[in-house]
Amino acid sequence: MTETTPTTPETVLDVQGLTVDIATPDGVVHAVRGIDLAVGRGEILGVVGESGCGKSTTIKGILGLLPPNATVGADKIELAGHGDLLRTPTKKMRHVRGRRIGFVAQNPFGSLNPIYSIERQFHELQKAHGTKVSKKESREIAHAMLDGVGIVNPDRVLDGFAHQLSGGMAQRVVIALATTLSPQLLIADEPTTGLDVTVQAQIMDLISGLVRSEQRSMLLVTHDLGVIAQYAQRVVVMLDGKVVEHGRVEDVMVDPQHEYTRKLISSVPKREELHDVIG
Amino acid sequence: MSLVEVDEAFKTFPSRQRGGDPVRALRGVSLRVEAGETLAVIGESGSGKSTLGRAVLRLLDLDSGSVRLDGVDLASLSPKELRAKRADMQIVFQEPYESLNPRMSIGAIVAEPLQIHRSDLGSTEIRTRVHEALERVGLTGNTAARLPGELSGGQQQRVGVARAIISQPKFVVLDEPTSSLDLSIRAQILALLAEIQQDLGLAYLFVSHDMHTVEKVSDRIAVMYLGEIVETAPTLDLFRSPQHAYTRTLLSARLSADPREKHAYKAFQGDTSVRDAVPAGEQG
Repeated sequence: MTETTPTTPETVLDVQGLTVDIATPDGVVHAVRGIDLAVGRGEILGVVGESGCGKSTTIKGILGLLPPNATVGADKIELAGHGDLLRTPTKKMRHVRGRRIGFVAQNPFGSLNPIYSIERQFHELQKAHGTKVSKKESREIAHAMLDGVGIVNPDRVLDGFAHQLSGGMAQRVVIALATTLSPQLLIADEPTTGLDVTVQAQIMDLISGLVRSEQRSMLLVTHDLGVIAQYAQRVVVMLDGKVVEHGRVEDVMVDPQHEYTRKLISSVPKREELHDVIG
Repeated sequence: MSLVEVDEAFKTFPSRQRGGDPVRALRGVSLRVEAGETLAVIGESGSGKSTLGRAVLRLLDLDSGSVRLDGVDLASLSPKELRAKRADMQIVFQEPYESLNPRMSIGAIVAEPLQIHRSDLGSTEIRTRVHEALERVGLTGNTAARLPGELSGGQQQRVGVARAIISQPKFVVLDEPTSSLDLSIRAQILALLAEIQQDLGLAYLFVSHDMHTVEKVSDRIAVMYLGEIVETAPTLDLFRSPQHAYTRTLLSARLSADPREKHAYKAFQGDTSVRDAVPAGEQG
């Protein structure tokens, strides 16, 4: 049942033996303890687990976003068309993030600058990556990107600020920013946690559409098994910094092999079961 | 007569933004909760479900309409009478840590309702009952000496439950009691709440945004949308044959953990325009 290779022939991200050690006053915490994962082109790989399992630390390790007290090790973190991220200097990683990997974090208001207009944030993104575009061109691109993520009145949003947006709208803006420079890989950390269920369905439909239509790839970290079951092709189940199960969604979610996966899937017991527990 | 009777409840809050429109959180809400049953109130942010959960306990006053517990209109009670009545109606909050005083020991937190409502009890009796309540929610007696910060999220929520049941209430509002907890902890807390309900014959008003959770725990479900209850039905009926278009939208947005059950989200007409008109901060 274990399927460690992507469902599509071309591997975009290949991580082997990733470890993250974090130095704390109480000693070293082994947050990630040797995990392998690979994402294919056009594929969504889900990473699922409960708080503290190391799923967010894993993606921050890949993105080079961990604080200095964290030590990242790996046999390789290979990004197709670029090379080994682990051996990429910090300065160059800035250009990898945004241009080659787009990142969507859980809280959109943490990703957006509260004192810049949304238009300016699109322009700053272009400038930071050395793209020579005029303000007018940048606005046109931003307008098209916002239109692409389903924002009805892009001009109003571009002239406004983050605090004027609802949570769902703000996350749409973040997704537009993350995809503006056409990165081949998107990494999303709980992109819909905290959003209303109807907004969650809209945002996930948007994200999976972007991945499918552009043949992008996505690493989707979430604790929500419904999101994984409905949108990912393969899934990695994490516990205590390790991968305990790995495979196609239709295998892992329907017929889980590992005890922990079974426990997660049956975590919300049926009403009758609740009363059985008691009786 | 039902245990809890809410009739034509209206509540409007002034806008948080200057010159903004007032927020009409409750627009004529009526509901009944029978003794021993669980009524779930489900809705998205801005639906008014949390306002309703507070209004039924008179933690906030209505603009108009009434709330009766055991036939007694809560608005008719003097502050002293209301305080006495609070022994019968309690609440468990969403964020366990934020609802526990970080400087009070667990024992003192759980004992507080008894000290307020049962001044006839001596300190030895109170201590015995605190230990019983802690054991009842699956915590050991020596938890009493600890501080909230020393406990895990699941344990903290068990303390919140112990505090809610120690005064032997008839009615408890559960305001998203499991939404900040991990999945496996969530299941334990839901099982605990079901067990306590069966043993003590409590009625719950379970406020939630999560269809998966309310499907498992409620006898009936009331669906709220923009300050109104658009549909109330027994749980099975609501899932089998939702009557209101918004209920169907909510159900279609559910993501099954079984990949064989494909979801097909159907937007509620006017859904996004209304949502986008809600100021940021009103939404989750």
